[in-house]
Amino acid sequence: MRPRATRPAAGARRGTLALALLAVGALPGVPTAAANVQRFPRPDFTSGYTPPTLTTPAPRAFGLEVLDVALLAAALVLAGHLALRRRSRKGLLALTVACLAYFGFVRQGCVCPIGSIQNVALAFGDAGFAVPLTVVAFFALPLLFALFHGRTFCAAVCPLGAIQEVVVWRPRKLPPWLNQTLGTIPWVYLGVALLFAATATDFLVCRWDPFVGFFRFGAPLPMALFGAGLLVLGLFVGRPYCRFLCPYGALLRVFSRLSRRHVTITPGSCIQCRLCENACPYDAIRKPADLAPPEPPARGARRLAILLAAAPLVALAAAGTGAAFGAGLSRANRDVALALELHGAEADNGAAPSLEREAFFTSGLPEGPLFDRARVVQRTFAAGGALLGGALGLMASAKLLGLSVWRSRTDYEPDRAHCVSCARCFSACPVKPEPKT
Amino acid sequence: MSPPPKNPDPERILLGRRLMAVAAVFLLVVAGLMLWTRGLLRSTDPLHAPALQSLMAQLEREPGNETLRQQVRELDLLARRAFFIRRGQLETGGWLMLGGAVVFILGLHLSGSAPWRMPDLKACPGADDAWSAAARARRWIAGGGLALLAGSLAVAFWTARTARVPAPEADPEPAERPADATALAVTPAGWTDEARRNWPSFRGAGALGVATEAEPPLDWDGAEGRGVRWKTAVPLPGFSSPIVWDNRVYLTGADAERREVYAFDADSGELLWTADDAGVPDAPETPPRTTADTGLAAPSPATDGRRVVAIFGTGVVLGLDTDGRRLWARALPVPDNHYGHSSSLLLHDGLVFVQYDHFGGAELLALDAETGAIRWRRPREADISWASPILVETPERMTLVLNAAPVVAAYDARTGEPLWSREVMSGEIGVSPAYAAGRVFAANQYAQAVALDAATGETLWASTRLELPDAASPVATDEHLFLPTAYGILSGVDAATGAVAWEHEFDRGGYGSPILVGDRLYWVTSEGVTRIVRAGPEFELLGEPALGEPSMTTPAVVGRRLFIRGERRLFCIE
Repeated sequence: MRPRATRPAAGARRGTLALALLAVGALPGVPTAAANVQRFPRPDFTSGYTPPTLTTPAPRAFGLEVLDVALLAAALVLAGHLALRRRSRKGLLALTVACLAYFGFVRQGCVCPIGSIQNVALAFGDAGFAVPLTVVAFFALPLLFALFHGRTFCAAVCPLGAIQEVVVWRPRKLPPWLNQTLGTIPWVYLGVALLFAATATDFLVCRWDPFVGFFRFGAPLPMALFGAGLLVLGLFVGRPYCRFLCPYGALLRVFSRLSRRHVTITPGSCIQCRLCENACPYDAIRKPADLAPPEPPARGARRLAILLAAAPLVALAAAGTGAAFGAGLSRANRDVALALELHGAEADNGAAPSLEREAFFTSGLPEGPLFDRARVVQRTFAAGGALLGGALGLMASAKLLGLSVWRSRTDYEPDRAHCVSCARCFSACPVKPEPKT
Repeated sequence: MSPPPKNPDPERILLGRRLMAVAAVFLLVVAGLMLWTRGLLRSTDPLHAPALQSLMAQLEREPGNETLRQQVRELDLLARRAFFIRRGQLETGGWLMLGGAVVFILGLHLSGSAPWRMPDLKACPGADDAWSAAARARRWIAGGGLALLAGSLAVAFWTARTARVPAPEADPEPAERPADATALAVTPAGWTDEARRNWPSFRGAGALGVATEAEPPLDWDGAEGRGVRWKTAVPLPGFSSPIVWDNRVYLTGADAERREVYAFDADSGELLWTADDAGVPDAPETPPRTTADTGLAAPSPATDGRRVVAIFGTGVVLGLDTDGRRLWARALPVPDNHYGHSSSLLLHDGLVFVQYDHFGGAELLALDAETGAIRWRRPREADISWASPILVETPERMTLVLNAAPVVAAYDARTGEPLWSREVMSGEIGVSPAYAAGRVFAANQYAQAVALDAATGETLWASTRLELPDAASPVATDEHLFLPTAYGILSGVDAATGAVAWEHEFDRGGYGSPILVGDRLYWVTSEGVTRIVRAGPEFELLGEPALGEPSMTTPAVVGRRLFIRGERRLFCIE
């Protein structure tokens, strides 16, 4: 029997929740210390024309950035409390809406832990880039909390998760094999995003953030359609971005597996009533499994041996491919693209010049340093591609090994890696919490 | 034990579904309207509305028309207002979408978000297909991984050649000079054989004034027609010199109304085509004032056999194909030049070099020969000048050398990187540099003559005791430098020391520059007489054939033919 969670007084519960929501809700009214910044000298008007006041906002004040971090931490604490101790779906839903409002619409989706991966990667790749401590905090806090509570960040704090959470309507169960296969995509996305960020090529995760356009009331049409498409899909397939794309979710899976505590379906002992079997819209409930594997042990052992032996070869092959692929991928870097265009232009002057090429020529800058930078980026891409390929090869092998190991299970349990602690399954469990002795 | 979860009652589900349906229709309508507004916003540019452009063009023609000015202001305000109203509509649409989405989500939750479903109790949970699902997932992941690997390899292979930034080219070994180098060994290196055989710019390849494979005649008489293959009237006047590629001779002419480029048949003298500078954006409505001895067509054109480029005193640069079709045109700032712009163009390796030193600023530009785009530009610490650049090959690179006051400066022709500069000039510089055997020569009246190391700019010698040129440019062999003056003195100077080898005073000088053909100098002086002189240590006059009309230009020489622009006509001497 599991020990029963302590239940604080109802008044205190409501008070905590109300205070948190009040704090979040009051934030839009906090005055910003935006100061106008004069970037270029104004022309000397002699006609008496009075130029309008500039409205370019200054960077967000440090105090407000710290407040954002504090709110993130508070939301994580509250989410953990609501999921693990209170087991309150309603509370989590309220927190979800509040975080969607603040981190989504008020903060317009930035800074967010998902994008902060790239800031951290760029800091590693470029010694001249100083990543702000508040961004580091945004990156680290959800991971740290996942070590204690599982993916409570996904449950109610992440605005991208929140916008998908509120549109889940008639979720369909996906075949387990499809879940497992699609679940590998975030790792590839994470690797490519890290490579792009570390080489200062692009912040892919932000550029392809499907929902930030909604938060900002403006997005390029393809991105708006992509985001809308994901939300429509999300009516029937729960949280498609979180499960099959989110690179930060890939990291959270690892941390959540190691979490000290995690939500449980039942507040007590599982009575195997099976009522929770269909309760998870994200296919994150693992059913009981027999003690003995459903195939002869020798066969399983042979498969494991083959997979183990093949793992280094797979990693090597993937590393080699990644190195070769890296050069092509590096075309996304603006220095490489410009250098290639200039080189191509030398070979064939018939090409229509791009704005970048025109601007470069107009600037009068010499080509030598540009080509030098481009070559460095290409070498980094080749090395990073090899590293990424090797890592993905090893991960693929690890995944195959994981799928080849039989794990017996006696109870219905949340899959710690994939469960987002949304608390939807709680109500399906007929077991009442045992009174604390 | 609690009872199993209950789903919402049917009435609530119905209400929720109706709310969802209404909200969905609302969202679709708003989304459609937003898309439509967005399309309108993209298709209309308030700053470039045709009506506004038309009015502004009219205003440029009638700058004093206050009514028109007011109309432009009102239309501009209307266009901008329309733009921002649409932007506002989009923002309002965003809020409406948010409101619709909230109602939709409310209906969604009323109708039972993720309702609880009874599990299939017939299936035994312990014997489900988890293991077969794992086996299937293994196959898919392995297959997907292999596909990713194969796809990546294919892309890598496909982009292997085109996606590599080229490694820096190793510096070529300095070419050793042949031991028996003589005056005839002076060649415009770095040029193709075709370019050397032709006459691609003012003073030939590299503007060095050297022809390597030509054998023009020593005698002719333009008035009688002796030795004249053809002579053709040039439609508009100009002081530009002819350039030649294969069977085409190109020339420019201009007056206050028109600026034109001409192509003549080198065999027959027939005018093949004329191209003008009409309709070049940002070109001045009225050409700048120039003096009569400069005009608007003083700079010579240039060609690489595929393209012909020309610049006029208005600052307009034209890029044409060899059939006279315009490839591009761009207007540089109108040169602020009290005589008129006269610096000629060079075209090499896809770049058009423009020495653009005027009161408005001094700079060296490289334009893309195919598109006219600026490939690089270098501001220069120089005064106004009228000289043309030369292009020489030093062991490391192709180097542009420019003469102006106060500096003679060298630039990497590929990148525009400044290489060296020497403050050795003063006054109004109209004389282009010369080059031979690693030495750059620069000279100008009221300044001095200098020899500089082409690689480092180091001064090898300097002299003020020479008869210094004022408009015509010198030409050099390995041993000698030849200095022409407008008042008729031609000097032979020891190239290594600056000592005078010989001086000869003709009746007349001119603005045309002498060219070196083999061991002969051909110098067309202002009355149209070509002074043919031995390019050696002693003065030797080889001929003085007359054109029959004055000339202020530099001849072009290809094969056995000499092309000379007279005051009104273009002559082909053979």
